[in-house]
Amino acid sequence: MVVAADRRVRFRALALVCLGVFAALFARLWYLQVLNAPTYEHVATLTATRTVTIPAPRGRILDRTGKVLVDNVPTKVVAIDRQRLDDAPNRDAVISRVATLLNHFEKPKTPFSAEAIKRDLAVNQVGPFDPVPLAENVSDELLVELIEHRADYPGVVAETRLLRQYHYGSLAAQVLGRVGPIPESMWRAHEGDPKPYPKDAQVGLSGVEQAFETQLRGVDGERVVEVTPAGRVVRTVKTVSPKPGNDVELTLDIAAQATTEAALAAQVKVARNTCTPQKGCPPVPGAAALLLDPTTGQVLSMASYPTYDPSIFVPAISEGDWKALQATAAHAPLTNRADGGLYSPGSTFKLVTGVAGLQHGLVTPNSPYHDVGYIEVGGQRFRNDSGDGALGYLEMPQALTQSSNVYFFDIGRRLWEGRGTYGDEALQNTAAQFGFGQMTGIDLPDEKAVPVPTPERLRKLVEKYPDDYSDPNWYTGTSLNLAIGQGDLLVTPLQLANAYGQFANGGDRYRPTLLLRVLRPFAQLNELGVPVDPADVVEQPRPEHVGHVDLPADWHAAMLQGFTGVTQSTSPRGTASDVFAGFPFDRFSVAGKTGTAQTGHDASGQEKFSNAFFVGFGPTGATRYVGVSILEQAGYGSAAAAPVVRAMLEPLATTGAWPTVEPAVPSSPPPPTTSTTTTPSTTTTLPGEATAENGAASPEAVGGATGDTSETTTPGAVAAGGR
Amino acid sequence: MSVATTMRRSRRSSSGTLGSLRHDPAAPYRHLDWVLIAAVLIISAVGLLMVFSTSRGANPPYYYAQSAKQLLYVVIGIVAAAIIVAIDYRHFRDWAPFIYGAGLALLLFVLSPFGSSHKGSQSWIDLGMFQLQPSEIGKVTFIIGIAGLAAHYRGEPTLARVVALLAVSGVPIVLVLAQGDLGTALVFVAMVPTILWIGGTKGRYLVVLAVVAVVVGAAIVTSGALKQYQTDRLTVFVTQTDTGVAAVHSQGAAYNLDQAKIAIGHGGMWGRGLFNGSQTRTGQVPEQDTDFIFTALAEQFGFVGAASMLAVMGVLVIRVWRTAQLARDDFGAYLCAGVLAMFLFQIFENVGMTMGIMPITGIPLPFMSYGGSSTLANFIAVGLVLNVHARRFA
Repeated sequence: MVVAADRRVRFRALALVCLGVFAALFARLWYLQVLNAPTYEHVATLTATRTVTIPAPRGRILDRTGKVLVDNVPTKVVAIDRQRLDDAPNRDAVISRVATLLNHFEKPKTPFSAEAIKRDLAVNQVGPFDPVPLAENVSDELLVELIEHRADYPGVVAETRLLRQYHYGSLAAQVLGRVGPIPESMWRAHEGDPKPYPKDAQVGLSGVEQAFETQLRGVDGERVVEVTPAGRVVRTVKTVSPKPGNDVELTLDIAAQATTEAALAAQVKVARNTCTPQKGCPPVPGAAALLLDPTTGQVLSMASYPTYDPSIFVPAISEGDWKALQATAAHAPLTNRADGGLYSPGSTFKLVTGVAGLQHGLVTPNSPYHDVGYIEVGGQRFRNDSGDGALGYLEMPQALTQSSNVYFFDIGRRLWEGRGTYGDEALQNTAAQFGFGQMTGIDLPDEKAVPVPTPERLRKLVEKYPDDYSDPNWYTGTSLNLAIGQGDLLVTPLQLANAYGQFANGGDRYRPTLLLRVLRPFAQLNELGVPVDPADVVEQPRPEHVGHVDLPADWHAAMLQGFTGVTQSTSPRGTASDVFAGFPFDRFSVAGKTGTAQTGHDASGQEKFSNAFFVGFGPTGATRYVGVSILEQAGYGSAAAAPVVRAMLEPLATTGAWPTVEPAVPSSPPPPTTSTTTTPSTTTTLPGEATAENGAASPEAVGGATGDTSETTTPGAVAAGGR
Repeated sequence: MSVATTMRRSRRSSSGTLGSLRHDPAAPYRHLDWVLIAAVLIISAVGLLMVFSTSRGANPPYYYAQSAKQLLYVVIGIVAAAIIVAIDYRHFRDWAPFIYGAGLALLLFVLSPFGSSHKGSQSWIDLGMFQLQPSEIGKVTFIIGIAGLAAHYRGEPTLARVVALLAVSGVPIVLVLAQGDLGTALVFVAMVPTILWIGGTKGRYLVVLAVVAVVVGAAIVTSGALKQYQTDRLTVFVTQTDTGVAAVHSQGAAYNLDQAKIAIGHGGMWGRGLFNGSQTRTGQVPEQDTDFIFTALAEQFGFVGAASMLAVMGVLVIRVWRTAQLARDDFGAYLCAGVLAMFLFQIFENVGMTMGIMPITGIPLPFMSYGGSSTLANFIAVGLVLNVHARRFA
């Protein structure tokens, strides 16, 4: 053991080392922070750096044949950096000058006013650090003027941005969705990610843009530059090139989409002009239609009416346009009614009721039933549609073809009265087997679904909302209403299409999808839209089987006969046979079902026009197409919606393809390569501001969209991410 | 003395536990080193503030995720330290070989294909939400192992014993070096002579050791075994030019050092104020939330703030030094000596490199730098010292 005295000496020596260490640190700290402070203070002002984000070009959106639906276009934009404008001593004068300047050079239809610009600055449709765009596609003369008189326009930036470009105008607007500044909640949710968003990121906010955000978004590049207080860039510390996002190839066929939207808009017009002296003209506030391939779940077209022009959101929507879209009278053009609109299915639901009757042995494919025009339950008569009267003796096929309510009322009644045997939710269970009451799982973010009403749900609703529901009891009559798709049952057009697709498939249901494949940026495609090099395929989804219902051959045959009669039978008369008169069934056999659903009463107590549904599919036997259309409050009978589906399917029967549609904006050629030399966006910050590389840029440099090397700046952006 | 210890321990264990706690003036909880605890908590709190100031971003909305994680690490560290204090440190002496072995196993594991690579060093084990850096935890197991072996050799360390100790120390050091983590390896290296010195090793042995270390070190630097960036970082403090406008154009390793010095100098006497450090707020100084966090402190709080924090760190070191002397047995003294060497070296190396008086190696500033493994290891180390202090009469 060590002698105590020796150890004491050793500890003292150790203490001396500690003392020496701290003395050295204090001395050096004193030297740097006190003796040399003035020098370092000077150097610090010399070396302010800015991290400049180089936004990655967003991936393109293509249709199934490879046609470009959405891509990016470099556009010259005049914008205002609010923070720096607010720092300027003469804020109002600058705004007035900008308004005058824009009016002089751009001669807009509605002239710019200082008040309107101030409103736009206050409304904050862009992120808090984003410059607020005032005008796009501005002339070179305007840019020259801005550069030459830069001192008069503090906070005004002229920059080249990559903006979303919609090649087919408003076609598929709700499906494609829009891009906008990242909401703070989303920014925060990605805060700790390996790939976080910058605060001023542009992200997909709806539709396909939102659904495939992770694929479409690229990896932003960045450039760290050192700038003098005057804004001159001393040097670039480092540059990381952006990586463009992947292209997304959709299952949509733009030709089918054009046909669908045109047919839908035309039929809305027809319906609105079908007026009667008693009730006036149907308002038809909205409509939707879609076409899908039931063997894969691929959606070929999806239309929602009314629609909008997505380019009004580029680069940022004006206050006036936004108010117009939100107005009640506009009837929610941003909503995709095809997967987000909830409607009573009416008689189209008889598919489910029929199968339920067969499943529980209440009817057979050819068991006869005597339709006397009504069924009496609890002293109340439930009738066929007005005008139908008594349909006489009929079996399943005729019941579907003529849309006998009574036949299906009877199934609903017996299911409910026999609930001791079949259970409380026999009809609802069959509905669930066809996918009702649940989301279809389509890739779109705004899909809706509500549960199918059941006695238990009704009780819970009454408990939860005693003001809205008075009676917690489920009566036989409630089941009768459900059996013909009325009452509280609500479905989306997409759910309905998928259910009929399941029937046409013989019982198998697939998840509807819009994604054909994900491709590497600017992959070369052949004329069918298939990538030439298989290595360009990033993701190739397979059809997803999501449901099955057993449909024995005799059931299927009888019901198919009934659905075929709807369009093709003249005796008994199918409910849509008039609409399909003259259709070349020999080349393309279409079956279908009509549906009409009451929509209640308006404020004055008058009964509103009914919603009209039609679902059609073909070619029967080997169905590859299911079309659905719905016209809200279209009124005149069950066939109001059928012409839309006929127009969607008829080109397949006659020419075998939908008429081609020319893009409103011609396709731009792909960039040579996305090499490090091309940066996607160009900024010229006007001088007096300490951010941009091109503080003293020449007008020529601004005018040229490519070859220039500056970019959108984020003042004082953060380089250090979380680890 | 060891006989007396045994007797006292057996008597203590035979009496009623609660009764002895209430009346025993030697009870550990009566002898906690509150000064050391206060110093550690002050440094941790200021460290948290610095991590927040460097990671929150220049403009709202601010990032909180990283500071929240560091707060979690501190809480975990405090809990770990409390657990360590509760266990009589003399048990660690009995378990020393196993603790040392476990640390070795972790270091081996990280080199296996299960380890993950980060910034040129393969020194992490990915545990999903948390990446463990075994070389940090390994520092503590190393101290226990070496202190245990040194305490096992009662009496003056002979040459054979010194060689044996060096051999046992060498294995983990080589493993850490193999991960490419030069800085942490140097921390290990600093602990060995300190423990040997307190253990009574002849001065001439240590001189020979120092000469060997210098020769081997020089050989490594010049042999090309190190990667270029490692050599650059080691040598830049020798080649640095002093301040001036030229710093604006510096590149590579010199850029790192120059930006750090500029940030510190920019702080001046009183500092730029919290969240006002233009250099450390905008990501100007690389690694400013981890290895270069001292620059954030110095820029925002100036000489007054930075020197005060250095003083608190000095208090921490002196309290560890004091406990090493007060320890009732050799093992306790060696534990404290090892911990002292660890903290002293890390403070000197880390703060020194940001100011250009030490070569740049990536090691964290204890209790201030962002990082889970190092925070945990530091708290465990302090727990050991508190343990020795608390049981100096028990």
